[in-house]
Amino acid sequence: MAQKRVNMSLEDNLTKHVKFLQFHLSLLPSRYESYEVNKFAIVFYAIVSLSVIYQDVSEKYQSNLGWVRSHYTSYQVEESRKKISGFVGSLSAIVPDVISITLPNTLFGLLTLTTLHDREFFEKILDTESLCNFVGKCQLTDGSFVSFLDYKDGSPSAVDSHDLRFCYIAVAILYIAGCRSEKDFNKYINVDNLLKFIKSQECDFGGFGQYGEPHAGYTSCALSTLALLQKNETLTTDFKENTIEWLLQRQLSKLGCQKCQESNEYYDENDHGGFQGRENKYADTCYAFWCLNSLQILRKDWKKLCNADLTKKYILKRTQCTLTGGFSKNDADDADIYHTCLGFAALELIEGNFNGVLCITKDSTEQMGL
Amino acid sequence: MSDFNVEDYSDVTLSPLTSDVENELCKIMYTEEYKQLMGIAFTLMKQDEFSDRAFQLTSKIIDIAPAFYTIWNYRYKILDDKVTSCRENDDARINLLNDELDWLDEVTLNNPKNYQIWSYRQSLLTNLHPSPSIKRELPILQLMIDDDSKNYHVWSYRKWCIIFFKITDFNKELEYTNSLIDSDIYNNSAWNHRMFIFKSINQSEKLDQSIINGEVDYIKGKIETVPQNISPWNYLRGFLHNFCHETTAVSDLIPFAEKFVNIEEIQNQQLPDIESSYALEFLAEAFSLDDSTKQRAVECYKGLATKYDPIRENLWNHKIELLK
Ligand SMILES: [Zn+2]
Repeated sequence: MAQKRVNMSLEDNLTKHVKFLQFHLSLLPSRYESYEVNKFAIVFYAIVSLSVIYQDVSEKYQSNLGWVRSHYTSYQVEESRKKISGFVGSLSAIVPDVISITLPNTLFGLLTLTTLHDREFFEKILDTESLCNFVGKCQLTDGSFVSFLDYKDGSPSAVDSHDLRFCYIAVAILYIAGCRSEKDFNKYINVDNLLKFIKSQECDFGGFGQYGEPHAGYTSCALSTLALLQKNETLTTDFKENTIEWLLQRQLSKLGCQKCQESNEYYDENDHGGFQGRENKYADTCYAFWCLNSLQILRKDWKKLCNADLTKKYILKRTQCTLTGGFSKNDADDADIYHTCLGFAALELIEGNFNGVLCITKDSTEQMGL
Repeated sequence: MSDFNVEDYSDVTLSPLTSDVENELCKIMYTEEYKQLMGIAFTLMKQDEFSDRAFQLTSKIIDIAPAFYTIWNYRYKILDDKVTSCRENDDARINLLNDELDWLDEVTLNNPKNYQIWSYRQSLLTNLHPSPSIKRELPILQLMIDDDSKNYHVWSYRKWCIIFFKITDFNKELEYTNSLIDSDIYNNSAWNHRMFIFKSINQSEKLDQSIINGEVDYIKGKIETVPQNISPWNYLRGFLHNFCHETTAVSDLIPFAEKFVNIEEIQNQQLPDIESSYALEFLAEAFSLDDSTKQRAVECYKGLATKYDPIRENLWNHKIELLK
């Protein structure tokens, strides 16, 4: 494959990274069994990471498009006579009359095909109407979303959680399906209720989270949702300022007074430059992405506010696994595919090559008109 | 209830699992057992079989693949069916649900990061259990917090319980956060829980002044123990914002914050060593509230930018800009 202009500092380990990523797309041992139903997450993380490294991932994986597309499936929901469609996480979950598509697998599937530039799928195979119906069916009366439906009657599943992650995923799917204006979105979901739900997750001094405890992951989901809906103006100026500050405070430091934390179990001077997801927690590769993505949504000149060079250094020097390839959560763990993808994503976001709101490269969004 | 035995399903035709598709990516070598169990499960689901053996099968599959959402849904429907069939018998229903909670406790301990367990639990209590009780919930909450005192899902679930069970004995909850803060003063989730409790109290009856004063003293004590700890400083700011006349309360605390900071030297740009950047930040905010002390705020931010918290230099300079 043709290599891209990558981060210079990644150069040395590129072969290992590619090996690590290709391993995850190959034959996986049975210890991965429990991931089976959410396998699409693995495919997405690996393909997006490879698209950061290579110019022409879409060519290389051309022959796999059929397999990816075969996860897209539709159902007739009896009571409403409406068709719904989406992706299952694994072909083993496609069984007639058992609804097993989920919002996350659907987003991962759509983004994988976007990254592989599968125009034919989007123009000829995807049925946007039934896809959007599926999203609509996942919304609850409080405005939030669950991630899957009752396998039989197609109502929102009674056993699933409903939180900002699924709100984000729902709106991202609608966006990819072509919704742009409020009217477009309102055709399938209740935007006002969704905005009310998002508002209810605002924390006292910035950030979003459940029951008042701000969390960088939820914050990124909330802000990305608002960005896709073009509703950032619903946040008050104070709340935005507070959120920016809360996010900047998540960058860990060993300088000045910050080193006076000997008794803090979660303080590690080697975390310098990285980001944590909540107060008094260790730095973690994925939170570099969640925090920086949140910041870039709130401020065009975000790089002037935080110290992104140090974050880059933290990811490259501390969580990049030079032995196995890939990135880990922090240096105490082995590399895993999720943190590898978000490590690449954070680095590319800093370079300006990444669409953080959709979590794919800018090349892909531009090529596919998103 | 008897254990899982594959022979109980010998009459079930297995739903074939699609595999060996051309050019498959990320092919997982699942075991024969996995294939067999899934094959049985899909067949039973299609047939709407809500039997004991179907119920046992779901336990077995959740054991192997706890992230398999459809199985949780299936299990719930079987349980729902059982509950309906003993509609007339409260004791039977209660036993059924308590057995289910016992089983769920086990699964929870084995899968601490799985979030499905909590939403499943919530629907059991909300929709099926005839007489749910917080007493039944506390032991598992305790075990999970012992295992990871900052587990976000567990704290969320605890707060959900307080609302769901309409808990009014808030002192117990405050004591609980005390004990956790005593064992780890940096536990932000415990501090956050404390705020949640005070907000809940304030909703039922306005907090009275002696409680407010007592709490401010409590926070001050914790800050004195470890001045460079963001959690109690954030909590202090939140507490004053939510329950006090903010500007007055903040000004009143200037002398307290100055204990950790040699403010006069900082004002003269001498930048001595100080005990807490958060104290200085608190002072900067306090000074920002009044035009006459704005210049003092600027000096505090300058100190943060150059010496006390230089990684956030850009933020502190941005704050100075906002003051102009
Ligand atoms: Zn992480």
